[in-house]
Amino acid sequence: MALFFSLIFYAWGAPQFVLVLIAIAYLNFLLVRLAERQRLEHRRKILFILAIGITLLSLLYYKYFNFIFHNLNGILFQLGAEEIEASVVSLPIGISFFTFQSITYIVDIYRKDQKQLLRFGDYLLYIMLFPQMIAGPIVRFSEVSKELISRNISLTGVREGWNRFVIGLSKKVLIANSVGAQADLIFQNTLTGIGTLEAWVGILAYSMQIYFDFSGYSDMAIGLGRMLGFRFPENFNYPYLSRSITEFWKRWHMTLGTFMRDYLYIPMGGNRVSSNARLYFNLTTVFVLSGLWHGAAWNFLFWGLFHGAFLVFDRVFLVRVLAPLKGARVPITFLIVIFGWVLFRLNSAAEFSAFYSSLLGFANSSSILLIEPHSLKVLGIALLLSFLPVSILENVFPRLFRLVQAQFGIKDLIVLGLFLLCAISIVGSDFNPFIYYRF
Amino acid sequence: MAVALSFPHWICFCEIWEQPLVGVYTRQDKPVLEISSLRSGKFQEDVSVYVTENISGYRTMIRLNNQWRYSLLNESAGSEVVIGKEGYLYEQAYIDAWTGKDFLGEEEIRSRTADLKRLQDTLCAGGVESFIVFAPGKGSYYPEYIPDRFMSVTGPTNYDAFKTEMDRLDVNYIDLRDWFLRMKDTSQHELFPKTGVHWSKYGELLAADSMFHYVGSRIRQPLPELVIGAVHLADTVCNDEQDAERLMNLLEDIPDLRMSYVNWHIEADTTQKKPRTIVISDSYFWGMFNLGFSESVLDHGRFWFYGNTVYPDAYYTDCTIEDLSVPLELFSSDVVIWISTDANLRNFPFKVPEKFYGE
Repeated sequence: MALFFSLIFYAWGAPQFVLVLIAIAYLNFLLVRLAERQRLEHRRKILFILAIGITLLSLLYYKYFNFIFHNLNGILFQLGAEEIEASVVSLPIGISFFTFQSITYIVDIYRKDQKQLLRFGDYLLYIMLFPQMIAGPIVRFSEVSKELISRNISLTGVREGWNRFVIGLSKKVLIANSVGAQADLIFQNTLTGIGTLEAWVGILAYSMQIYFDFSGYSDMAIGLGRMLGFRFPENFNYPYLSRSITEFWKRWHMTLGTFMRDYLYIPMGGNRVSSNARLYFNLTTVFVLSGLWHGAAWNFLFWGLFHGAFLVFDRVFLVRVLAPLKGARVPITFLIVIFGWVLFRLNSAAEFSAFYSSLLGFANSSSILLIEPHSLKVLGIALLLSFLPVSILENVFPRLFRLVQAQFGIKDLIVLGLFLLCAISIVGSDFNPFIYYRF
Repeated sequence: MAVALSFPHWICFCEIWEQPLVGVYTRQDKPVLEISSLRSGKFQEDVSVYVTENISGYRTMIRLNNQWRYSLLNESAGSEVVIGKEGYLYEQAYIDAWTGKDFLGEEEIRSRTADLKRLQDTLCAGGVESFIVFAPGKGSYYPEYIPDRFMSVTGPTNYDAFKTEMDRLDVNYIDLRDWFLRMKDTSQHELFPKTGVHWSKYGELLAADSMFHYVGSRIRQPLPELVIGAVHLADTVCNDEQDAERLMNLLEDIPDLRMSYVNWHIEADTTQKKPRTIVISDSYFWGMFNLGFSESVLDHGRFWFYGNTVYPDAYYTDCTIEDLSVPLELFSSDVVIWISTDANLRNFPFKVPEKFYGE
């Protein structure tokens, strides 16, 4: 049933790609089955490499073909040569997560950490399970291998899952969408000129948007998975409370971090390389690739490079230099992160330059026109929720939390209230009437 | 969760008493399944919108959403309404007109005014009187309630530039905007409502009276008299005076000013010849048109809404000025009046000179 709904869910969103992904999944499944039958290790290895190659090639083709061709044509144009014509390749939704999860299956079987699945339906369920296929978290095969075959769906699990799903939905609908609208309004005007205050509101709004959007989707995926009897891994742990960029990557998109560590960084040598130069190279490479995984564009590469550079700085001097500042490391790290978000959000050198100029007060504008008061309220709530973990609130208001936990129904009422608020917000979000028709 | 899933059915009960949604918007037609639209994803988008719009309790959910956002966040969700200080409501266009954000530029305004002057002279030569009415705008009448963030960037305005140019070229106009502002502090009755973007019913009648007297002076004959009688204050505000608030589609009423309503009637001499008139106007003429002045004071007055849709013909059939001969229509009239609030000066004079000269 879960597989059926997953396929319908994907086919509804991307009907032209569902068969493509099923075909790639089937090819991987067969190659792994074939590999496991091999007695000779080198043949086994070749088949696993082939499976990884096909998976990565499909990602390269669907996600990076346009980017590569566009840049290739740019070079040819500069050299005065004729540009190559090619059709635009469409991107199947979820292919990034599809690829990484396929890799975890292939590699875990190759390493003999896990046993292969015997039924294609079980493998397809793992690859295309709808809660996490589109936006994560990246669920490694080892984390759900048993649940794919047999899982326990309990009333407690359904209740817990539902609560988690609604929290995630609230984060997305009530917070992310609201601050996102403010961020869009400001970022859209980057090149026409924005004031310093506008720039700061814009980048803070975007920082909150991306966090609540992404962590909201993760919560929804984890919640829905729980309702179906799966226990997906956590993906966020108050990342803006980090005291260094190194710590940030242990709290932000944690499943990507652990994937990159186990399937790329460690195979490259990890921390056990012969020289610091090689270590820094590995770190930078991993993060450049992480950046590009987010999107096929130069700004994502720069964003990855930005974080890779700070990871190197951390090791070289930054952690040591900032250590005496204790709690002040949190806002400093937050500042570094939000400066990085500018690269993630904008697309061109002109935009980077304009926005950073505004942020640093070099813009010739004191405009606050684009700052919407109602968005500031939501932004304030978002900042509070980002920097105030529930655990601290539990210590400050222990009686309240005990009451909510102990009294049957209070938590459910709160969750129900949030769900209803989300429902009416979703319904109301696209209703935009005019007083009169416009000409 | 079961309670949440039954939520739409609770809303059903609300639909018994709920009002239709206010405003101009398009509804999604029932999507038709086609392979091409399924592949492109358009069918799925249309289904999503269609299902949402036809969900049980849709209107109530819209109002609930708008109300909580207004009450808690002071946000006008989903509409073009801007919430000013102390609950005064504006449309963005009126604020842009006051701050000069919609300024067309000196050259453009000179060009449009020159076209208007040329047309006015052509019509005058053909025995047709014409003039412009600068109607007041909410933003220019109540600038003190405009949120501070909009005042951080100001510049030249279309109103100032058009008026300067019209003075220079001797274009006929009357400036009700300036008149309303001069009356603002002394008028015993509100000339603009708090939660609407058009002039008050009282202000509208004053404007109409002034306009018709000016028409009479131009054609040198008196028009049927608009007699303004007793004025009374009311505790409830009529719909026209809270159009912005109604557009927000809230559950609760926003407290308004006490507005004045007038007993009036038209005194007409049967021997009086009423002028055939075309009024080319934005929405500021709607009130006068709906009060029947196009028939009772003017002769078969036509209302060219934004210089496009022709009323009252458009009530019965699709009728725009594309269906007409603009020169014939204008030359068949005795008087042509342009009315524009400052917010619509960016579209003024509604491309009528171009259509007249066939450009």
